[in-house]
Amino acid sequence: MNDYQVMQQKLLACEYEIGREIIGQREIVRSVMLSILSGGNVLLEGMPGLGKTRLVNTISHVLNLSFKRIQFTPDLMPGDITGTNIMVKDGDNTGFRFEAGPIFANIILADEINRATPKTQSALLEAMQEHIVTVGNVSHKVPEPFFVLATQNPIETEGTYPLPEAQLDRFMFKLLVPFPTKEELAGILSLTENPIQQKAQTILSGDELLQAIAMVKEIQVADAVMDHILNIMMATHDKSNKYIREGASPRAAQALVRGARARAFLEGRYNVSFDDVAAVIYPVLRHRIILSFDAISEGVTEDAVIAQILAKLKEGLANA
Amino acid sequence: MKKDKEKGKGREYITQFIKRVQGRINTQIVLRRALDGLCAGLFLACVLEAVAVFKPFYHVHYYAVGLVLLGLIAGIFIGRMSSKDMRYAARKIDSFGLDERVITAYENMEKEGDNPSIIASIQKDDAQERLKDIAEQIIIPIKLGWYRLVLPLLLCVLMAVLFMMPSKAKEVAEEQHEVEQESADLKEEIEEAIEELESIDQEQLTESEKQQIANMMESLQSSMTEMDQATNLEELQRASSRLDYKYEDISSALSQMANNVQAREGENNPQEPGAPTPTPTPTPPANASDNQSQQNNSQSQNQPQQQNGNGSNSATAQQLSQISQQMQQHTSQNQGQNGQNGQQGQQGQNGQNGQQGQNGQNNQNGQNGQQNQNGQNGQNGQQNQNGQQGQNGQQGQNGQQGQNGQQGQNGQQGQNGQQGQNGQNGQQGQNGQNGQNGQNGQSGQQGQNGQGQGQGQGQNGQGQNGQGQGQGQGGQQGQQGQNGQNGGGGGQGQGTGGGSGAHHDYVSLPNATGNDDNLTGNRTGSGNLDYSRYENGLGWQGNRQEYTNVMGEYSERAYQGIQNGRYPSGMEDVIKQYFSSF
Repeated sequence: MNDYQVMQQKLLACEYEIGREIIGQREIVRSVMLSILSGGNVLLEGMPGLGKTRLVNTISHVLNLSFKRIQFTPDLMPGDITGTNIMVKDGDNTGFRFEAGPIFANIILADEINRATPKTQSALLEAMQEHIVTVGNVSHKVPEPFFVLATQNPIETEGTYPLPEAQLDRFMFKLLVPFPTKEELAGILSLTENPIQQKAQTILSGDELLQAIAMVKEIQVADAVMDHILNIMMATHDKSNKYIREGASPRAAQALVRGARARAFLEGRYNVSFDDVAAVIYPVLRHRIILSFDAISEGVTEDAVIAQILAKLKEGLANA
Repeated sequence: MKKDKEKGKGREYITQFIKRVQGRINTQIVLRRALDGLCAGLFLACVLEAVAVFKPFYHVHYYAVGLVLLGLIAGIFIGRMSSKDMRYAARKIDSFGLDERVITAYENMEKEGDNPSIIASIQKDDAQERLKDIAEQIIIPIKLGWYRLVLPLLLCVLMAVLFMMPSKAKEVAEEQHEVEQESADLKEEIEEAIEELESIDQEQLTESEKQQIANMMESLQSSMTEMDQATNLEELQRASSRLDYKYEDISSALSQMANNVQAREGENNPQEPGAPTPTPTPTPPANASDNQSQQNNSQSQNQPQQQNGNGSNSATAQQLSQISQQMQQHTSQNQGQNGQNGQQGQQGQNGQNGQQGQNGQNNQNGQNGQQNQNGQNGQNGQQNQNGQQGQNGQQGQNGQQGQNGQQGQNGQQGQNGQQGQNGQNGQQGQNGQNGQNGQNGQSGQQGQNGQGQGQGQGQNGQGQNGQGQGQGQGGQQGQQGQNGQNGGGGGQGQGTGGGSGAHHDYVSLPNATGNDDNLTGNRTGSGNLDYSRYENGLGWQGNRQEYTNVMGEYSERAYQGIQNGRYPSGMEDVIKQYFSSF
């Protein structure tokens, strides 16, 4: 076994351990793992009580990463997230000292991110993209690996502040957390109401995770696959598609490649396949495509538009 | 080193595998395109064959086969052009559950060459391992599709049916093709004949003879036009018959011309002592009338014969004689073909008796001469019968031509010429046609036939002045045939037609005929009749028509009548001789 295979085994073990605490939601767990391996951030959208916080908590535990949870509220201020300079009196000396906020952790859970004001939401932007937090004139690096897992409630939109497109674009994946099936719900009850609770074990360290991220970046992408990704991107800008007002940004293409690489790695391969791309296309594109009025009026969702694009390209692939 | 070898092996394995699959894919593509092209070609061929059922198109089968081949070749070409590369083959292999391992490995091998990165090397090994695992499952079947196999068969059957389907259009096409081919052959022959005529050295010819040759060529050119215009076999046969007459006509004329040339040379050269002294005859002027000039020619023909007997010869005369013979050959060839075709009763008979057929034509050429004069007479009713006499006179000349043809062989013909003056010989010769056979033949028996010819011509002269001479000369020819070692001489002699043929292409058919009541005058009873016509002559303002058409129809009807038993028994020979005597 080479290093890649060892790492692949460890990551699969992580996935398994997370699955012990998170009943069902395998796709969500896998997508979060892919995002972490790609160094991306995830926006989880779902009803309250679906285990979002528990998921993030478990992942941080399995990966042995520091974890902070920030509950976004309308009165939450940027400094509450990033930290602030506070006056410190030490004897006769008086000065300012930077008090790091909750953002300084490996995994940040930004719970109900759409309830905070845009100003506060934007406090996350620099950290999510640059992994730097600037307070005053001083920039502070956040610890690596750094991931932001944000959640938002699709209902109860009153008094909320929808994330602007620029901020949405910085989330690599947008995952829709579905309601568990009956069996999964039974499993959840069985797990949570059992006095003897199973606890997930820590599998990886932060350094090993960084190593895994580096390995994922080496995964090979064939020209044909890369061409397929580019075709997808261009298809989102197809003016003849009446359901699309604006297509995905170039950052989406990067996310597609990274996500596909991570998936290939988790699948035990050293190259990206078309299936890898297809597996990550929905979480990558669904929050980056801006639907037209036609789509909204007709009730066409982003996923339906993506499915349409994918079907069209699949036809081309078969004929090639 | 060992690792490098393994790497190389892995690389080779993947490449070879891809190539193998690529070969199968491309084979399938080429086969498919070839079958598609074949189907397209067959379809077009069927359309073409279907068209040929309704419209005459002789070469349709060639075109149909060509279309099929073209479609097949085009299909193969397109198939080759649209052949797939190795990347395509690699992706095809990946579609068997290899998740783009092979295409990635192949691209890495192309990009990184012999020094791949670690991950690329691992990836290639992974691809190779997985490929080996499922290699047996990777089967690229050559699927052509049932319709690609069934459709060509159906189209082939359809094409065969259309191919075999009888139709009137196909018959017409075949006939047209036959006409075209025969027409082309005849045109080629005519061109040869024209070239031969053009090759004649005209320095020793008179102006009238030159004009004659020009007329011959013009006449042959008109025959070429007729060949072009012939649209069916019947028309072609008619044109061919006319052409044969022309050949005969030209042959006779050339033969006579040869005699004339030799006669002129005889005048110019001194005679040896002891040899018979020829009567000098001046060369006829170019504008002299046909009768006079021909008679003059006939008189002068004896002299060159004697000179020839003394060994002197003219190159021009020889050339003319040769070309005359060649013209005869053209005639015999055409008649032979006609006989094989058997489409026209007379010609069929002629074909069976090739020599006799020639004779018949020669005689008809003689008739041409007569009828041409009749055309002139048509304009002048009073001289009608005189005109006939003139014709007979020409026949007499023709008889002399026959002698000329044999001159080279026997110098005693001069004496025979004296016999020719006896008109009684003319009555004897009733097998003139057979006599021509003697010309063609080289045996002594044929020579005897040659005698007969001379007599045949004489019959035409019966009852009329000037005929007697012609017959007598014919008789001489016959003798020459017997004496001659080259009995063929008789054949040229029949160039009789030539003497007058150039001027006798048309027959005058009167538009209006007068009443006998209006005729006054008395018959002279000696062959020349003095008639005077009151206002309307018997032939008044005649229309010109091709002589050969008229003569051909008449003789055709006569022979058909003989075949059908229309005439009393025992009269067949008389009728045949009558028509052959013209």
